[in-house]
Amino acid sequence: MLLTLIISGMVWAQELPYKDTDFACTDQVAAQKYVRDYRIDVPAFGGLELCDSKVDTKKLLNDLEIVEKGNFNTIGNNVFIRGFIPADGYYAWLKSQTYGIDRGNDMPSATAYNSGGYFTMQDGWAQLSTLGRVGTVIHEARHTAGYRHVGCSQGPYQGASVSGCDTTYQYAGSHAIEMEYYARVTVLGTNFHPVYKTMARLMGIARSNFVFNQPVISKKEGILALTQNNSHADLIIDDQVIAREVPQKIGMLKRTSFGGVKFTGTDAYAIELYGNERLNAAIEDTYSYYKLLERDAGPVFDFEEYDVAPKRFSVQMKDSRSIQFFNYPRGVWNQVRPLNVEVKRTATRLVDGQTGLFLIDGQGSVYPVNSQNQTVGTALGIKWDPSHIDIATYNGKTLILKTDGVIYERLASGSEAVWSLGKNRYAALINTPVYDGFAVEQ
Amino acid sequence: MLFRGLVIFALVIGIWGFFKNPKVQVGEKAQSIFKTAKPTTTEPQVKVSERLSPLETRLRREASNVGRMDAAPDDTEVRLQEWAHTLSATELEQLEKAALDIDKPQDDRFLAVMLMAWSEKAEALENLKDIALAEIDPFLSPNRLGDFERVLRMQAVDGMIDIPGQGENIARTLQSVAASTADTTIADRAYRALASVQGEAKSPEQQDKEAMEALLKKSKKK
Repeated sequence: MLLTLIISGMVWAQELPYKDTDFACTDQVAAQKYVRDYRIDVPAFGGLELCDSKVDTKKLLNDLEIVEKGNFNTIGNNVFIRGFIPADGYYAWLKSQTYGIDRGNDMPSATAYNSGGYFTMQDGWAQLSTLGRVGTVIHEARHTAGYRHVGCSQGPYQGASVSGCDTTYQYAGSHAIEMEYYARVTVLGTNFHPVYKTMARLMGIARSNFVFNQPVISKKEGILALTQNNSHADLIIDDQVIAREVPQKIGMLKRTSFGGVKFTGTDAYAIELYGNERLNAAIEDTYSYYKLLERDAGPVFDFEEYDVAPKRFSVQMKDSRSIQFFNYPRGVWNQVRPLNVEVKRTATRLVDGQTGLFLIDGQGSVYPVNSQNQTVGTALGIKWDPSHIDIATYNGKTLILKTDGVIYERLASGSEAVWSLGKNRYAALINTPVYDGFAVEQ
Repeated sequence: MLFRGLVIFALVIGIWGFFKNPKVQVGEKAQSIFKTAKPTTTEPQVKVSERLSPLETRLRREASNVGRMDAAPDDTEVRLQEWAHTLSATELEQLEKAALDIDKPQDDRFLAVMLMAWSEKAEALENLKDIALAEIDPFLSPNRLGDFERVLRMQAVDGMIDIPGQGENIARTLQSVAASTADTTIADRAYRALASVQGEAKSPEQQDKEAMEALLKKSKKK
């Protein structure tokens, strides 16, 4: 009995180190396995070191231990987590894609590089956080299978002399593999340090915004049409007509970067596109750029948030004779610019297919706004038809909502026909982005 | 003598490395297939004689656990929060300095920012604002070091809303950050945090998590 207690006590002492210095050390058997499995050039990393994290060998051993022992719940796939790598297979996959790991400083501008399955970790790698280092190793491993980067067409890497982006998430390249790992750590990880998890969430969000030339969450263009009696709006997507609750507020139907809002001149109220909450409560839209509204001086005449690829613009008109652009880099509104026309309304799409921002006066004259240099051009050759309320597009067709409340489809011949998916009489019509990351509930 | 020896050793290893591995690279910034000298020092960017204050020593010790598996992350968070509650204004200043010191390990720096928020001290608001608005060295961006700097500042913004009893101060600070930063990512984060403080939206952290959970729900339905 006593012997059993002594033996169990010894085992306990081995399993749970109590000194900080001991606690942080890597098990020697595990270290030897990592060195063998990944053919680590130990001398290049500063020699075998199991405890001192200042030594790069210890950093790499930590990284591989996290890869091996990180545990994830398995719920299913989503936009970020697509099962590119099995949740319980990171170690085996990484091993299969790694023919050797070396430490060098021959390419100071790089964090690491992969040459035919041999990774060379640079000084930049050694300076990274644990998460950054693990992400780098996983990232590099994907290159072994031939996945390469392309130039960045947007974001902070745009214009860089080297290729640093992947075209899409679906390509399943190095960036996607890395993002999938961060997403798993964030929402499915069970045994990661809280600081590691927080960093994974922020790193995933930050990097996924700019390392893919096409956004991770892709969007479709749907139609949102507000009924004349303001009872609901019809969301039309994939040829399905789905009724959606609308805030019971008097206002203009406006497109935003996240969907649609009812805009009262002082506030924007979100329209829930993805489900009916049956709350009968108006929820202020704080997600789109309508949050930039300056309400202090009372209601504004109009506000638009629109894209002229690849840039987004937000514009407010405090009255019908002035316009003001938001300066994103500085986070402030630029100076108010007076107009030499009295604007009756604005539009972001014309019947001939032109998009952007257009100012329309009482005679129907249409003035294009040059968003890049923030000037207003001379009147276009076409006039706004007074029988038109709004213009939108659906699967390449031009749709026109007219004052009779009916949506018409413009045919190739130039004639118009009642649009078959317009089931009601409507007061307003917009295009709305519908993101494929979220399920649209019927 | 030793230096010459190291140079010769590095050249030999470099030539050996080239013949061992003369393949085309496909790394993030692959440019050359030549390898040159290998490092014989382990921490090229960190001063060898780095002297740490007692606070920094504890920070370093705790941060070393970030790179370890954690069987009880909730308990760890509580323990770190308890420590954070004991931090003085002077120690918060030291943490700010540590958080912005690019020569310190990134795990230490990120933990420093989280501790400042967890301290729940009103004084921490200014420290977090300083971090959120600290200019990112153009030399560090665009690359992973720059990405970390941005994420560190995002955490500083998120952390402000954890400080209780400072509603108006937090709103004012976030407005100031949103209006002053030249970085659109930080500005957007500040606007989201501001909406949260004003009761118009959930916290950015909750928004992140709910977005990801919504995505998971969608896949479960399929």
